[in-house]
Amino acid sequence: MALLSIRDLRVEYRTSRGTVAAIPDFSLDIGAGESFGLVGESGCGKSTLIMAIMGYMGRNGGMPRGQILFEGKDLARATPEELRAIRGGRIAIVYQEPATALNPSLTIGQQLMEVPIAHTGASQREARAAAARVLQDVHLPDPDSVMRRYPHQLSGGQKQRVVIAMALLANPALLLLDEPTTGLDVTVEATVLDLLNELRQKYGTALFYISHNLGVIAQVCDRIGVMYAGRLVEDAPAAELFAHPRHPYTRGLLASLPRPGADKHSHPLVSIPGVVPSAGRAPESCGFLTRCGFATPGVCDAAPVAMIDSGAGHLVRCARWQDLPAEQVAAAATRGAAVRESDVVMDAHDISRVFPVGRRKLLANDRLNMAAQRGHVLAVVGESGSGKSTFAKVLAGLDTATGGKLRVMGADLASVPVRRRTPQQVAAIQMVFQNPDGTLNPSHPVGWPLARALRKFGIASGKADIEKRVTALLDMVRLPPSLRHALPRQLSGGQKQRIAIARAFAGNPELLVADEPVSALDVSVQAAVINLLLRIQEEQGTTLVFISHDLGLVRYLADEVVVMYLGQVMEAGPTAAIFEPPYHPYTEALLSAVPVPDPSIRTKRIRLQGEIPSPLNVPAGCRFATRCPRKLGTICDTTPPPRRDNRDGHVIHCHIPLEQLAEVEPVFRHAS
Amino acid sequence: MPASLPSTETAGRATPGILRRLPTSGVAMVGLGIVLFWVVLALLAPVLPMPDPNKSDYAAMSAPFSSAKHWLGVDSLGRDLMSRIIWGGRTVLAVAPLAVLAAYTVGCIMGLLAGYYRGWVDTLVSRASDVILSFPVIVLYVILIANIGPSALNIVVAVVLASSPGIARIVRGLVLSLMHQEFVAAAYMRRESDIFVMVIELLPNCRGPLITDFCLRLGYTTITIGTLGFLGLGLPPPNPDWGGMVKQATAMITVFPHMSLYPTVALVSLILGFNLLADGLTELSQAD
Repeated sequence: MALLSIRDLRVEYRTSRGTVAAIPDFSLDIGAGESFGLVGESGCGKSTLIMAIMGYMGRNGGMPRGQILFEGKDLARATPEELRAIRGGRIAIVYQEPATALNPSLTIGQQLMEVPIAHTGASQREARAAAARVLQDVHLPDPDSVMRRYPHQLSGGQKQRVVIAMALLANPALLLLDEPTTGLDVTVEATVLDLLNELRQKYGTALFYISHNLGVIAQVCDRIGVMYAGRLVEDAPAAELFAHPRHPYTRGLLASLPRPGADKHSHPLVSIPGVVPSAGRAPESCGFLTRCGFATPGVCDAAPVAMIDSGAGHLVRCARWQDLPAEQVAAAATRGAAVRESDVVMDAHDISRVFPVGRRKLLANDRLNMAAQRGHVLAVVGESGSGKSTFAKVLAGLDTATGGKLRVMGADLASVPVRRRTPQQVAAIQMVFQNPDGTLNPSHPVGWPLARALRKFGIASGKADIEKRVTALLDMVRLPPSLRHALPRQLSGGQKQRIAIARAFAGNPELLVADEPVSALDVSVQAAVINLLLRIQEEQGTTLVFISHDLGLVRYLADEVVVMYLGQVMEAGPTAAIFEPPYHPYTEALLSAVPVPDPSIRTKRIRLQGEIPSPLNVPAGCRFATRCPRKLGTICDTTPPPRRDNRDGHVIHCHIPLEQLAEVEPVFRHAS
Repeated sequence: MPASLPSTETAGRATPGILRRLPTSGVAMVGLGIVLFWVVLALLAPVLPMPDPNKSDYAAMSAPFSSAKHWLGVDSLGRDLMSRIIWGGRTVLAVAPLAVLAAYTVGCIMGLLAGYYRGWVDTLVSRASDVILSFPVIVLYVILIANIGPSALNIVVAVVLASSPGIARIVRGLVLSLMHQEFVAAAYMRRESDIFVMVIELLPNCRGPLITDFCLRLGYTTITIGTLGFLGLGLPPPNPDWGGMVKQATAMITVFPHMSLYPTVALVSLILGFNLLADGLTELSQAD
């Protein structure tokens, strides 16, 4: 018998707009010790399902139909007392945000010890021993000292380890994980995923892992379910799902992700048109109907489509699954490489940004060197704290460098803030920001910033002319002209980012700085926005400086890559050179941490220990020396590494000679 | 094929502005009803068939209780109470919004400057606000009015001085958090001026909390005007003034309680109306 068995579950919420079925009809079985991953974009009902299992329905929620059988007991009809006994005991949960899962005014030890005391009636001494043991299991060094600390004294990754430890303390049969690594850096994420795999073996706990990231799910789960509009649309063993995705939505999700080895010329990303329908608005027959390229009238919109067994434990909810082409063929890439003249648009030389903090100095950027060619995409990658956003701000003039030269259009703009730049210079260097919700002023209609930019840059004057150009800008980002009068809150995240792109292109920029422009968007929308940005960039011959932590995306779109760590450049060069040996040891570790949404690709396993040092107290020699898995010895701690030139402008800053760096095997390999 | 078809992307649900959603809040509607009741009476005062508020009816003085001629009775000088209350409402409803608006103008400018420029401007504005706010408000009013004399204009001046620091604090806090939003950086990327960013980009986004605060302050100011009237620092006689009417009647409160009771009820109901309206608005803004 299954450990958790959800049968025909319906979850409803009463709102001011009437009763809304967040989950119309959901069934799922998870066996003891199994690791099940549930994927879906935001708004698919993943979190609602978790809340239903935990019994946190709120006053306006209810489950009018169906069962949630856990170890034979129906949680949907359980009393609050019964639920309380199960929660944190037999079922534990790890949330997305570790910072809010821990009580800031209690020590880690106090919070951990509560669990065995409450659930098994353990004594103080027993509870303390259990807490120390489980902290050891999640690989936190020195459990005794961790137990005396408060949550704010731990890093994000450490906090998530504590939360996982807390969840495991009562030895649960089922562990619910709701996007547990979403806020973490990729290197930290990799270690947390490793930990989950290890603990699963050790404790035999069943995992129910919820994520929007197929790569992460592929690392942890044996079986994957794809959720759409409150229903499971596909359910298959992990390898089978990636090898033979059957549902058009699953195919769409996979096609919108950059795969290792693919770039924008050979395999353009394919986005799923439209957005997830809001709760209760999806068609009853097939929820994906409105966005599906294969939908056929009379077949797909007739009766509700049931889960169909396509063999090998592969279930799919699609009436036409047998009619779909074997593999979705991507549009043929005819774009090829454009004419690449060697023309440097932006040349940063020894750029430094030092913030005085009391008597100490915070080195956000420390003698950065990089150059961007006309019409190229230069990607700047690194973990949070690497100083890449500071550099973006200096480029845009929102911050000024404390040293170095920044040559753009024949002028040194390193210490010229945007206010003191000429109108031409400002129009020439524009920026797209990270957060779609903050990028537009909520009080003004979305056409307003476009009109304002056109007027300020002297592109257009007069009402009719501006109207015409605003319409043209909206058309450029494929938005209907009527949207001009909408307020930002009426737009989806993807639409807001399109407006932000239109705004940046209003003044015909030479150089566009994009600071993580799609990291806050769902994958299917991400692909559409990236494609749009690249198309406009290519058409207009704009140089793009793309700041990102997503190496998969960077490999897909960049011509050149700069890898930053703690305010300095570790490695720079053409994209192909970055993703092949010789690697800088940091790049190698970063690459190996990337969760790849394809089980047929083997990733070399390198895990960084410790945390990125404070930029207030940087290592004297190589910045990466404190965490480097290939550290040579004291020379790394004391002497800044030499610049080593490989071919084609590929530069590595490392004490290890190029020949030795080249000897390692590539990070990504096909399993066959 | 890539990046096509976004036109099928449906826009998210639109939430109309807080003022347009007002009818959905029962509390706010009750508050609005009470306030509108007084506003309509005040507007109609000149045309309502009532005795002159300042004319004494000596015949009624012997039995000052309600009668067919004087629905709410007369005061100690034989003047019609209902007429005086309605005319008194006129002054409150003219002076209170005017005073609060003036305080808002000053407070918003102070708050915008402090939050936007920070540094010494912020220090100056914040410390000055602290000094004013550390006085008990009523003492401040008494000192001010006693010095500059009672008049409608001076009440406005006193309210501006006492209220604007509080408003400035709210605006400053909102501006500080808004400054981190990327649309402000986007405005810099268009070379907008400081004034433009403050007034066009930042101020409109403060309106949610400010609308609520505005209603609350109307209530406070109504209390203030009543209190000043009671202390004899309101409008100079014989102008009808709710606070002044209560004060005048206190000597006879045991014999003729209605003379002080009716204006008090009027004052309380108007304040309650403003507060209910503010509560409703808070509720609506939290429902977002």
